[in-house]
Amino acid sequence: MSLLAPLGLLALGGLLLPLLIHLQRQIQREPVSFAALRWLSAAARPRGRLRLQQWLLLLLRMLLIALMALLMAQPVWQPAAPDQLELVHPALPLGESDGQSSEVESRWLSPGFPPIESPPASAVVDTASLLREIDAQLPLSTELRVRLPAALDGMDGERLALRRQPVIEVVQTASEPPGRPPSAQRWSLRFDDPEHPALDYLRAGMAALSGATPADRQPGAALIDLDDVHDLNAAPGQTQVLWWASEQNPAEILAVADWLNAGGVLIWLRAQTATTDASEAPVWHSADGERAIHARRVGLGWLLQPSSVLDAENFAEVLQPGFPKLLQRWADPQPPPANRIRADALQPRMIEAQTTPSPQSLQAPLLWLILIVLTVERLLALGRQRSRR
Amino acid sequence: MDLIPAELRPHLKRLRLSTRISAQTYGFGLQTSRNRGSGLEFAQYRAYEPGDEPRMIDWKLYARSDRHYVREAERDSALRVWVVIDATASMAQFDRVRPKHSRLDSARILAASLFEVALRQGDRFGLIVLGDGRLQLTSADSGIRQRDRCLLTLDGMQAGGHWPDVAALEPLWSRTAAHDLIIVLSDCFDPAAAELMERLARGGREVRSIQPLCAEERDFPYTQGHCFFDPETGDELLTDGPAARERFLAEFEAAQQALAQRLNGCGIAHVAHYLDQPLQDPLLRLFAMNGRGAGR
Repeated sequence: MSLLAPLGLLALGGLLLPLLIHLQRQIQREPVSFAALRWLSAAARPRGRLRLQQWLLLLLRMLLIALMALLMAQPVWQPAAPDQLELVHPALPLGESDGQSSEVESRWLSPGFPPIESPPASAVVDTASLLREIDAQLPLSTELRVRLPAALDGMDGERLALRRQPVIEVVQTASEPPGRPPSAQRWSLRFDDPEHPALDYLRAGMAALSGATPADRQPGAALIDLDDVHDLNAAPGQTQVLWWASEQNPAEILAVADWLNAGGVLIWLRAQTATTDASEAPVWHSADGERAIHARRVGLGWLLQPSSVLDAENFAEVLQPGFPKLLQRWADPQPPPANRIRADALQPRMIEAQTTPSPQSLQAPLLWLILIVLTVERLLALGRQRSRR
Repeated sequence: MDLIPAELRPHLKRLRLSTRISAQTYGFGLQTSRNRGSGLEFAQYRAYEPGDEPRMIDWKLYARSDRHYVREAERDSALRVWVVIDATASMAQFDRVRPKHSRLDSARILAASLFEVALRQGDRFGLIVLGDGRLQLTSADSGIRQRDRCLLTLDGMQAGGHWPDVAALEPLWSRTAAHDLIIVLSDCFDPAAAELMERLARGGREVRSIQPLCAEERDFPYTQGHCFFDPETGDELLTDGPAARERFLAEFEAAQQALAQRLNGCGIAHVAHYLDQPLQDPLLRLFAMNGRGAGR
């Protein structure tokens, strides 16, 4: 325990106050009528002896003032730090040995660092921030062990810089890290003009993605169940991604607009160069930055528009071998989290920062104590007054 | 409003106001009394006591028995009773345990009781209040209206001021006569009180004294330092209770004993009455009908 403002202890001088008050009470100010005064001798002066009345009340009052002085001195409490601390990422399943080894204290790597016995709050945590926090809290003498999953979420833009080198243990988990798994997707192609320049490229790309047989399918590629309809008014149905090769605004067709609002992804391929809102961030752009695809939320769904017509003349990527993958990437406008890294690549930088571990303030318990003492003192004082009356 | 508390009233039946020296020349009262003295009907012989007039001695019986006997006869009452109440500031003193009952209050009750007894006996009675430097007199008379007059005076009485000086006390001499029964209710803290009683007794008045005293003056229960002040003189004294106790009690006791001796030396029956004791005690000691009261 230490004091942040030791000068506050000067308020202990206030202890004299109740002492003086209790001494003052000694000689009653109001004179006592006493008719037989002529036989009373003045030999004994009362001020010769200091006697204190109501010891309990006096002690309570002095305790109260001492506590208030302590409160002004702002006492803080430095909890004892363990020699070793093990942090477990909440995405990891608990092993048999976890939480049972008594020599190493285990805690969850989640806000507040709850002990391992309690269930973790959420599997998604800001790993880098939490690591920095615990590193700043613990004294340098404490050895830090961290158990992390292989795919580590919650990193941020800055490289992790810690005061110590933690022992990182990467645990291979059977389950995939959270994210959208590639699965069977139903794509639809709608067009009103069979001569639309983008149609050929689209069909070729989609055919390359799905492959003639499942064995041909590229690893990691989406299973595409293509629904190629020469009718703009056809209902999207179970389609997840709709390729719209027409000049007509899809929002004008009620069924399509509803489907889009409900969470569909629509890529509008126009023959003319689309005028896009410059404020929209592109979900994809070419290496030279001339071509881009802008995405915009419509209800729960996404509306994507390429910045130029999708043909060989204007959009060079359609001729490149990576085009099918590009299609697949466009169809999933929600990018994988950028804050995910491989845990074995985590190499914290060592810094020499003089951060003092944050101590716990004792003000709240002190305040409660003062309130309790004050209540007892008041009860006692009022009780005495009442009994005297 | 009844001044006399219910528990005191039954004791009044046992009281009789009488003087040691028989009154011979005061005519006849309204009612026959049981008082013995010189009169028409022979009552009894009794042994001579100092103070009896020599001519009351039955000399023929002395010749026969060689002892002095006094002839007593049923006396027709014409006793005059004066109650003198000291209403100076010191009489306002009370005990802290019983703040509603001051010395003056007890004197008031005692006076009302005495009037009640005097009324029953058919005696004439008057009230003299000494306080605030003057003398207030209700002239002696008998009857229920006189009692009510006196009670009214008692009711409006306030303690305060000093003992009256000699000039102010003049009516006390002109209105009372020898052989009057004068009952003084005073704390006698002022030496003038004892002096007055002495002079009255020497002037042939039959003087009795009841001295109301506080229990605090007997026990001195002060445990702290206090600033004491005398309500009559206004003097203040800062002293410590327990330290001053021994000496005060000794001096107070000595003063009371000296007072009692001085008054007894003048033939004044003197009884101290402490406020926490029953009120009938001083009355019974002075005026009990049977048994030997302090006055006889």
